[in-house]
Amino acid sequence: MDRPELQKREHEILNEQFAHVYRHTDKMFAWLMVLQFVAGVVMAIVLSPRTWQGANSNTHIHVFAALTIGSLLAALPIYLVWRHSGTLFTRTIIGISQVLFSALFIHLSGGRIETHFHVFGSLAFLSLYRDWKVLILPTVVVAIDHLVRALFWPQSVFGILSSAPWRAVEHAGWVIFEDVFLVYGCTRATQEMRAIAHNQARLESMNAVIEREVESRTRELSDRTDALQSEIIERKILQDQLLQAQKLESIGQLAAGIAHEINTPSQYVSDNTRFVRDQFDEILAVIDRYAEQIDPDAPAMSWQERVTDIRATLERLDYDFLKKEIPLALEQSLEGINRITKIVSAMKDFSHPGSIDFEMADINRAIRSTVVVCSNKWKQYADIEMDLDEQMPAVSCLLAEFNQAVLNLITNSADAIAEKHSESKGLITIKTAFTSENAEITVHDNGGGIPTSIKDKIFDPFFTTKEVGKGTGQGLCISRDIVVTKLGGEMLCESIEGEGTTFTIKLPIDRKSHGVAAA
Amino acid sequence: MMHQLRTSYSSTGSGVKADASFKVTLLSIGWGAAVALLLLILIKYNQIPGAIAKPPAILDDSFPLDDSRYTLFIAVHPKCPCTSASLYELERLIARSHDSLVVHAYVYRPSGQPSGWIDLEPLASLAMLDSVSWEWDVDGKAAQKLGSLTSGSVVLYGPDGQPLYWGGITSARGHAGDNAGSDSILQVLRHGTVRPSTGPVYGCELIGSAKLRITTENKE
Repeated sequence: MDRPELQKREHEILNEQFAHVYRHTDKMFAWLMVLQFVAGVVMAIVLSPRTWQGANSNTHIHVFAALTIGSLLAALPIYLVWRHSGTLFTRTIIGISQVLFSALFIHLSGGRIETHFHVFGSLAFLSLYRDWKVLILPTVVVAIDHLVRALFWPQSVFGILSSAPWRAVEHAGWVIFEDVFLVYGCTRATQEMRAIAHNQARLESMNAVIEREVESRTRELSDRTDALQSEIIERKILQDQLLQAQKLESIGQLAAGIAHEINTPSQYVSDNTRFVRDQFDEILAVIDRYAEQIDPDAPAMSWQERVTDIRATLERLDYDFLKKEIPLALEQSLEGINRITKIVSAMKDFSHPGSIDFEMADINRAIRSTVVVCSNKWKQYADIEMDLDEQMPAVSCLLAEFNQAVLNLITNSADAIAEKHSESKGLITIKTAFTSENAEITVHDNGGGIPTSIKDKIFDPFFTTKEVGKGTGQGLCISRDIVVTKLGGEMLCESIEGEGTTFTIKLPIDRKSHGVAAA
Repeated sequence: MMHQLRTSYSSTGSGVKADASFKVTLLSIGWGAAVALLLLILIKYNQIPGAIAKPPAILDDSFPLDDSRYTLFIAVHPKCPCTSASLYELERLIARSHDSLVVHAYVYRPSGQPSGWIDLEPLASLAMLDSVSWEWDVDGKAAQKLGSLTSGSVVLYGPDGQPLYWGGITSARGHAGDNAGSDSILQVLRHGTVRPSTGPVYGCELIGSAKLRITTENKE
């Protein structure tokens, strides 16, 4: 706001303040007029109710005077306040009415000196307008009143029929004496109001500048917030993509191990089947020999010849060997097939298609499947002991994400053990338990533990202590994101350096009672 | 349609410049004239003196004259609103007389009125003064003998029994304050002036009969 605008605003504020003062004071005087009218009537009734002629009496003229003059004096100011409040004309009429009320009261009170104070009080009251001009006409009226009295009824003012000329202005002089101070007070009040208006105008100007600045900053902040939100959304998408990628990576990495796992039983199922198939020709030859024995068209043979022939056949067959090996081969084949079936089933469980909706899941089975699927990750370095609570109820979760989190923890444990136990196997212990509210899954390893210095960073994205190429630093970060953000649970880590680490996952059994939002 | 006062606030903020409509201006002038007229009537009324007659040159024995000091007789109507002002001025007069004045008041009481008719409160402070005595004046007979036809009338007699001042000691009806009557009495008390004088008296009629009204001017 430039200087002319500031001055213009200062004047506006000042005029608003004066308008408020004028209207407020007008109202006070309107009420005072009513009060003075009532006071005049009461004064007349109390002091001079009746005039007497011996034993007879009539209503005193003062009563009529209080009613007529009093009502007249009050009426016009009240009307002007009602219709024209805030104008100089109105407050000038109010001022004149006030000093005329003084004259009326002085008359009604019998000229008591105390009643003259009404004049001075009225002038002081009028100065509440903070407008010195309003004092002019009332003062002139007082002066004219005394001048007229001095000229025509000197005894009504001075008590004597002839008085010195200067006495005519004596009363007015005292009024002017008071006026001097009241004018000074009005001027000072105006100056102070102007200073306040000036300060307020400046304050408003500064506020406007501040508001513009705040608006600008708010806009910037809003833009930044929008950008941040976009970035968060983008990151979220990337994170989901990363999770998916990691899942695929895990599956890819697991594929080789799983292939090996399936290959081994397939191999001996194949060998055993081939063995059984090869031996089947021999067995078939024996059976054919038996068939020939009972063929009626075959040349006749003695019982001894038949026995000799069959014994020779059985000796060629190595019957004792087959009797022992074939069931074993079949047994082993079945076992191999079962093992393949188990691995395939585990893979199927592990690769449970990701669902956006929570479902009630058997997390013990999920853990078992994950252990199987990732067996090539750990079996070289550790054994796994599972202590799963068979009473565990179905838990509301996103199964694919949960499997991923458990897989990451097992992999992490296996890696930790591999670093510590280069020659002997370590131990990974997986336990499940539950309370009335939560299911708890703990994955403990007796690896090297986590150094205290990095304990706070293990869940940070891309933080890893593994060699380049062995880990992305995303495993624990993603696991925690899955557990906390997607599943609405908690993930805790306790570790003793040199002794091992325990990760605990706590999942709400019933998501609705925990108010967990859908991921 | 009401005429509005055009109002504009000055650029200095010192007040309002109002341009009163013609109707409102006329109304205000009429209002001022009416109030002034009524006040003038009131002033004029307050300045109308009551009736008074010249007191007798020789008083009979029923009037307690003091032969060593000045005696002031005052006749008052106890219900007259102006009585308070007269008694107030009388107190001031006694205070300034330096014990050279004795006062005897005649308090009007119409015959046949119940005792509760009279309000003695205005007399209470005066009656406590040693130099003041008073008595009832039934139907104003004593006042009439003194020529005091209006409440608040006083008559000053010298130690020799001659009337020196008769009239009022207030400047207007019920109006306390400096007045010519008190000044005249003090003049007599201080300088022993022998020239009789008179002054206007303001108050209610004591006798209540128009035929008894004899103005000072007529008597003079």
